[in-house]
Amino acid sequence: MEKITNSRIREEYIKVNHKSGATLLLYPMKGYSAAYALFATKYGSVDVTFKTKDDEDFVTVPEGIAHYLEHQLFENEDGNAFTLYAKTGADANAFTSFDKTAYLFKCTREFEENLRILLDFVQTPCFTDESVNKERGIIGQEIRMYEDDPDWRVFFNCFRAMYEKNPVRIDIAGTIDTIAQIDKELLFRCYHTFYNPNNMVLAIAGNFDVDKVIEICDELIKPVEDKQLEVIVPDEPVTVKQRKITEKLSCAVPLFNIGWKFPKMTAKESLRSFIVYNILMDMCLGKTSEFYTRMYEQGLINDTFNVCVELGRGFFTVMASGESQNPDLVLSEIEKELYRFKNEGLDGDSFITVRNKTYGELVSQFGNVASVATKLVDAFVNDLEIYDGIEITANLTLEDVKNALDSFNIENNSLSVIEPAE
Amino acid sequence: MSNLINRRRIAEGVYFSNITDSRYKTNLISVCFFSQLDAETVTDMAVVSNLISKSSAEYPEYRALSNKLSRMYSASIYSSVSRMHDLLCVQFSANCLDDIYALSGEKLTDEITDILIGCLTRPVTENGVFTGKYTDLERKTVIDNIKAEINDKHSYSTTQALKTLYEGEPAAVSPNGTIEKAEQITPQSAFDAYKSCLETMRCEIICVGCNDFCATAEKFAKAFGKINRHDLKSCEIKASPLKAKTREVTERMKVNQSKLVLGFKSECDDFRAMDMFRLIYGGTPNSKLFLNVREKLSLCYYCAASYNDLKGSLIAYSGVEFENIEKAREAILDQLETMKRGDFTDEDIDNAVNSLKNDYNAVEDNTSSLARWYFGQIIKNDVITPAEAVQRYTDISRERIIKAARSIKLDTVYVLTGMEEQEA
Repeated sequence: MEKITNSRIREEYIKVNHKSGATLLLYPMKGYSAAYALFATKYGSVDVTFKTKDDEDFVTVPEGIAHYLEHQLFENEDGNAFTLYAKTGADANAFTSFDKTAYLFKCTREFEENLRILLDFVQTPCFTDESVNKERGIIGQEIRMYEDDPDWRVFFNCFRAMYEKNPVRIDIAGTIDTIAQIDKELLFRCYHTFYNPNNMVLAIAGNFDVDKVIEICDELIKPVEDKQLEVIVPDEPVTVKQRKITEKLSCAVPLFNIGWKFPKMTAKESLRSFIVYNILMDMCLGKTSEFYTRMYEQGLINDTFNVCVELGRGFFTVMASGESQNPDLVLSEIEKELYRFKNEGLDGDSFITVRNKTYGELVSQFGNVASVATKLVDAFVNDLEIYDGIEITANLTLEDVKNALDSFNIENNSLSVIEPAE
Repeated sequence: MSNLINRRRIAEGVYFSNITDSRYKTNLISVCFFSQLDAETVTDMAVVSNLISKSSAEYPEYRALSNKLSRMYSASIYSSVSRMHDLLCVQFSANCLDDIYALSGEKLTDEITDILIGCLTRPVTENGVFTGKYTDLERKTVIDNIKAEINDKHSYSTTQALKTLYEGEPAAVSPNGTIEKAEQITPQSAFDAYKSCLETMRCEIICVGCNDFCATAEKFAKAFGKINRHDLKSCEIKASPLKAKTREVTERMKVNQSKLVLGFKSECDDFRAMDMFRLIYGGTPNSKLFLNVREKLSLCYYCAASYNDLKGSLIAYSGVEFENIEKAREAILDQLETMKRGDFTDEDIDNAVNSLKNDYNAVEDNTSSLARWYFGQIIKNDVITPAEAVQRYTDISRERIIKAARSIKLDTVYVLTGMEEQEA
């Protein structure tokens, strides 16, 4: 058991390398009514090619299987896990992202019973041909729902344009075709590969008792041999696959998403770059920038304009998104502006403004049980420490941001546009 | 009305409340103006809410205010227009880190209060009205927001269904307004709407955080003391009447999935029993709708219900394949019949109460959810804590729930579906 503290924001939590192989990250928060718990595996939509020490060679499975598993695990012999949570009233859910799958609950009562339900159902796969077939209809409707969502489509199409081989280019839920290939045997195989405690974390924040959690984990998390899991992230060309991708959907104003592709980075490099590029983009294009004011006042962008960094295992991208009648012009204006900064240099005053903003955002997240617990899972998945971001931000210099701009390949981008369907 | 939240009158029709608790790391100040929804003025208010939250006489350029707030460790000032039953709610909020986290000892809460009051009471003007430049920009933003309503097909279909469900009532008016009205807005008309908001709309200010908000209350009392508050607008909310005949509306659009919204009415005044009905019928992942329409029939990804007590209305909604619309409609109505027959267990009732307890007890963990809770309570003229609300649900018999279910009648069926050639 290890206590991890941060004196700058006077916070602390407990890390346990549990005998089962699982990592426990426990963050009690005084004065809060709710506890928020996630039991998560380092297994997301990009993990389609893998092997363990029991396999002779790498195997590649259909896209969408991590998400399919997430749906299927809720099934149990008596119905589904929601029925069990109904007795305690907990608010339960699950999600799959590019690089993780997490099962969660939020509760203000019967915490221990909820934790038992969570640990039990995630470790008890119960798939039948019938349940797998039934779920295909539900997931099919989930995929259909996202097909009609222009915000979602513009984002994923951008990945499709940037990446050639990395599975990040495929929707998290897969497609109607790929989910048709998923059966009970494949689900069991992926389950036993990725739902090994050595690949998993239990993260809890809020109102709970640490000793009681460890006691329940001792009882319920079953030790499993470490199978030395290896996952392949395909080698990816440094340059984007295509410069522009367009789709037509029911919307009124065209939506755009510009993505800049970066070479893959280690976890430590990723976090530092995440903060540095967030600050850089905010300084150059964010709401406090001269660029934003000019574009907004010209009516070329509106309130929805946003800059961000998206990263995960094997990918790192910087993005600018929004609505515009002329997305091509927005892209060319952004490129011009970034070149201008490259030539004329960055302003120290603007750096302090944006750094303070970033610091404030990071500190605020520690006042919310859901965001603390989710940050703990992210830290585990990326082999990082939860307070690293605050320390990097507090110690960042203008020079760091200048260096990032110097190495920024401004033209290595893809423009994704959703145009209104006629 | 009890005074759990230290609610006090600080000016004519202006009330200030605060909740101070050391668990929070941030301080939230939320100012909400209420009036009945009115199609004639709502679009102007949408433009005003944008104009007011982005600049002030002290920070006349948007960029200057953004810079100031960013320097204050990501403090924010933001606005929204929303519908609460028959009411328009124009909200201006400020949020900042508590002073103890400032890197250089800044007094963030005092400062953000001054900035928010500056935005509200000293807007940027030329010739006594809003500037033409900013009015044009924010009119365009409002038009873009209205156009973007179709991007989210679920919320779009719900909004469209409500227009028919509440036809002829204030609640049918979309708080974003209309493009036609937005195009007619001038700096003068927007400024008139602003003056009417400040002078004649009922105002509630709620602060939540670890600050004691004494200085904030004084600053607001002083600011509102200078405003001529008069002829306060009515904030009446009326139950929605059942239509003589069920109204069916189908809208076609190029979509891959259909959206189905069934709107119901009820004259039942046993609101708690109605709420219990809603939870068992379609309020949780263990509800009748989830377990049958989704899990058993595999028709959809989501199927749920929501209830509006003051309007006496209920909607059930789902997203399904074109060819399954009728099947889903039948299944949703079948489940309503099972509720009317009393085909639910005592365990279902206990589960519903447990779900409420779980949700209500978590309201206080978050400054914005707590502020939202009390705004809702004040509108109902019945201010109780989330814990007190839970107590009112503990002894609701199955007979009361069955009676509530039996009071529900179908009023509106709204379908958003694909173009005819897509269905072929």
